[in-house]
Amino acid sequence: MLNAAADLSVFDAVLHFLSYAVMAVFAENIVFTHGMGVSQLFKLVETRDIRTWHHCLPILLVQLLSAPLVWLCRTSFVPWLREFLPVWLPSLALRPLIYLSCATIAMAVVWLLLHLFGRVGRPYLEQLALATYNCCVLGTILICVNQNFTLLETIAFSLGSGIGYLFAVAAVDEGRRRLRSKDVPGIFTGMPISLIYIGILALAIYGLVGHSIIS
Amino acid sequence: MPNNESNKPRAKSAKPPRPEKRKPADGPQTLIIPQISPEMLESARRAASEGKTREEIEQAALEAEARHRAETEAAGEPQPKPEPVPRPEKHHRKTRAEAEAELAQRVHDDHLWLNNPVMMRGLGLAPVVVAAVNGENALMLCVAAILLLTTTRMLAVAVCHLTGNRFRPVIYVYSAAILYIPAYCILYNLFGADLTLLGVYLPLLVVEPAIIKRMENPDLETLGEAFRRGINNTIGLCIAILLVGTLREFLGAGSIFGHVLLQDAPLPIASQPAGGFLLLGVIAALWTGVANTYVRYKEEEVRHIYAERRR
Repeated sequence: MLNAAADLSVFDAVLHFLSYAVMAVFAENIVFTHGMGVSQLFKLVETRDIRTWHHCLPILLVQLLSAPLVWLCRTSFVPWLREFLPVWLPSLALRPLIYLSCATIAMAVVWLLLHLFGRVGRPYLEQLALATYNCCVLGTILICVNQNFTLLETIAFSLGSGIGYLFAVAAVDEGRRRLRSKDVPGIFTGMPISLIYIGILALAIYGLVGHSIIS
Repeated sequence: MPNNESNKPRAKSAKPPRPEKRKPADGPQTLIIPQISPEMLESARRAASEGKTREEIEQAALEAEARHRAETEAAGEPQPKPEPVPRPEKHHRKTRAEAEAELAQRVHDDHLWLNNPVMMRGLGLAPVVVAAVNGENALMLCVAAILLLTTTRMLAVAVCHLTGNRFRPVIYVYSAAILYIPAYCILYNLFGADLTLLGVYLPLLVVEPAIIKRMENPDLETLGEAFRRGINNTIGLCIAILLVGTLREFLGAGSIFGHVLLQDAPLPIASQPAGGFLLLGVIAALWTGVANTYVRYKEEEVRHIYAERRR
């Protein structure tokens, strides 16, 4: 039977989880704040054949499933491995290899899950590899590792980061539709105006979080 | 001596004898022999009319050919020289469509200016927008790109040739991750602890589209092509990174490679990611404008050349 203290700790944990997830969606948005996955985002917005969901859902699932593996690697595997590494080989050099392997394992699990859905899962499967090896996924993993997040924080940040990417794609997609105006000078059409648009959205997030530009 | 040219079509139209038939043929047989000479053909026809088997016909034809050669050599008759192959015209005039296609290909292959990976194609934006905030960071990113881009492309292409072009994304990404290990060691020896200034953007290069974009293309290139394109892309990426890095340092801190030029920074936001996006947007627009003007000029030039030729 749960008592009041246990209730409070569960509530605290949920609140903690939500605060990290919301932080990843807005304040630490992977696109607007960290500039990761922008090239893929442009391709996604330009290509009408690929639907936003078909690319973003695999990202979300891979990030969510790789989060516990990443935490396990950071806390157990890497310290263990460090004992066997020669002096000339720093463990930092192995970071991409180790954490990409976590993402690849998560990709394999998602691949199996999507296969269960048959034809419905096919468009998601087509995007799975490109979604897994997106800057957004490895970037989120590396941020979690650098910040020494706990398991709960890692999962919350990964979930929030995936939702944040989806939010960024939706915002840029909507913006691009409006930026096809004839008032935009010819040399700015396409990628340049989208970059400026993302820059202005990033400035709006600075207004939300607070940034000191002039020291 | 029968005319060889008049015999060839008949030999082609006749059916070859079936191998299982060992009996002498009822009617005259025709045999197709590669590099047939008139002597061989005549001998084969004679043997076929006598009702010999296929092997016997072949044997007779070969014997006839050997006999003819011996006679020719004994008589000191020179061997007939092969007809000279007509050479293609030296000055082949291109059509307008060919010239335009060649120009389009040249524009596509020019990864330095006209099809720059960063400014024109929007690749490699994460390190350019966020990490390249000053000249030193830009230089470290350039060295990392030099060490990773071409080598990754070549290793991945070599492995793809072995796997039959399957599992491309995994191969490209793991090639980059494996090559990152020696690249990191070299970078650490060159720049030391300054490497930490790049933060997560250095290991992030292994999944950067500027390096592994080729994995999306199902056409398997050769190693030579991978090397050439890799070098072109590397130079294009380095030009863009250095340009943006130095410009952001100048606007954001009023200095270039640490040398103070202005006491007050002209545009402090340039050192922030938001400023990076804005600045890169403006630079990309100017770059696109100049590149498109040049391409239009070249297209106009092709049009003029072909219009004058018509007159």
